[in-house]
Amino acid sequence: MALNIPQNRPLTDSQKEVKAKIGSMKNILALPFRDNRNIPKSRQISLFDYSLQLMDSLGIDQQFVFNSFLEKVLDKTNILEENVVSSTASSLARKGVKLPDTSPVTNDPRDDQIESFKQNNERFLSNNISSSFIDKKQLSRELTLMLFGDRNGSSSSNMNISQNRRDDLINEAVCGVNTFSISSEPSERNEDVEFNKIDLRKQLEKGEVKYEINCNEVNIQLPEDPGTVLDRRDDGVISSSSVTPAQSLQKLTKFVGNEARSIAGENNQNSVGKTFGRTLVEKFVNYINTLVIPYVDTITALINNSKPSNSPSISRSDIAVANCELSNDPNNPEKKEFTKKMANNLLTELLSIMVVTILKEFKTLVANYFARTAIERQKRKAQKMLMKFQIFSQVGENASKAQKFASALQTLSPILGNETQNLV
Amino acid sequence: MAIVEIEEQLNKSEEMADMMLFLLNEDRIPVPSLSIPELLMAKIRPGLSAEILTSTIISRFEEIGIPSGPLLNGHTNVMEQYTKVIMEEIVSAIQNDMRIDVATDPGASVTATGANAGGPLTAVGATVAPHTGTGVAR
Repeated sequence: MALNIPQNRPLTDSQKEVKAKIGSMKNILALPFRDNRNIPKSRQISLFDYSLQLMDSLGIDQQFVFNSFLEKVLDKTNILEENVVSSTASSLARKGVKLPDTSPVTNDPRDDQIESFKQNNERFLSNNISSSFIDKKQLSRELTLMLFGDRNGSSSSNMNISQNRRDDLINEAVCGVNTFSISSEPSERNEDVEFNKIDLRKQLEKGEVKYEINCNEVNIQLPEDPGTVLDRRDDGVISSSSVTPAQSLQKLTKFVGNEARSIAGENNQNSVGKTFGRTLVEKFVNYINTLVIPYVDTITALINNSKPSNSPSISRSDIAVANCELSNDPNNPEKKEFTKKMANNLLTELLSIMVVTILKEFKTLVANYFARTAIERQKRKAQKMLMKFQIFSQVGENASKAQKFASALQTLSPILGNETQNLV
Repeated sequence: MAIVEIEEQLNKSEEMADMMLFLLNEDRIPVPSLSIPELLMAKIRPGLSAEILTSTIISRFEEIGIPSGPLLNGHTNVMEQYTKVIMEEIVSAIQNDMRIDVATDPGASVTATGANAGGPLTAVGATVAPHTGTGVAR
């Protein structure tokens, strides 16, 4: 058989180019199309979670924002009272009640009637009730109990919380786990929900809260007298009157951070501290119904004193329904109205602070970014022009190429010396 | 699922993102328009050169920590080759494929001379001054 020696036949440039382009086109077609996702609103990330991600990207301290929220709601304004009034007005309007008459105008009000009754009720209540009827210091203590439980049964008495109220708070903390969520909801199986509730009840009865740090469970307990944490001034003196409600909760956050550090080590202090700050705000909004319900009695007393004598009396349960009762009848819009308004109004306050902080910081970043890149571009351009001017300032505009070359070479004359003549 | 839902008016994460993208666009510093003399002076520009562009880019590699020149053991610096290829193709596309669609603004001054013998005036003229227009690269 004859020997066949393969001949080397290299491809020309255009032949190589065709092969390369065929390969790249086939690769591009094989790539998955960029998916423009159109996610429905109900499945999008919550504004709260998205804002937290943006704050992390921008380097904004989350705890600073949470502290601002707590100070605004608990120390500086009467937003809480205004929201209770507004939610009460809304709850009664949904039942067809137009104050001061507590007899329903209609048992099935239309949407425009509900809105009109609500405005009327709100006006009536605002004109007749004092602007600050909520004891926010006590509210912060009750929130602490709902977060950390009753250690040895003595935390509640040390915080001036009666036994009945203590039992209510722990029940409501367990029932209220699924009442409202400001985060995108986690997927939880029904059996896990029940298990988690049972576990939570045990923790609250015992007065211990479990946190997971690097797969280790860490139990954090408050002292038997939580006042030593909540009411401690910066100089170390325990004084309930010198510490505001918001400051109490901020001290609680710091305490949890310190405890986590001492239990789980230095590296974990910030992760739990920050997580607890977020948990505290989430739970505050979630449990707000339970925390303000006792103060609804102030409003019902006012309404009952002002109503016509033949109209029925209004009780607390006609306006606000506890979490445990809500969880037994979750689809009743009338029962949910008060809680829905309270929680959403408070969430609006929180989100407005977060969004304003984010937009301010973002605007500053963008302005600095464009200014800085524009300055750098101008500097480079100016440097190049200056260099050209320095080289060609000695020659006229119509100088020949040789003259321009000679002029440019002058800049190197200290190095080249006499060699300059040989190069021209 | 939570018993009490978040109100629809608070589900604004997408709107938040749109707002921030809007701010990003609004705050950018627009490139200023050139004056007519500056535009006419552009005749003396040397034109694009892929080689000069490549060398300018490579000269800035150090700013961002990319090594320039041959690598260890004399290996070719692939980043430099990559830059060269990209610049060559971009400049080639600009010089050979790009088209600028231009629309001139109305109001250019014209001087013309002409005459008529009792019928429509026939005039021949020319613009007397440079005039503005807008071009869009395609």
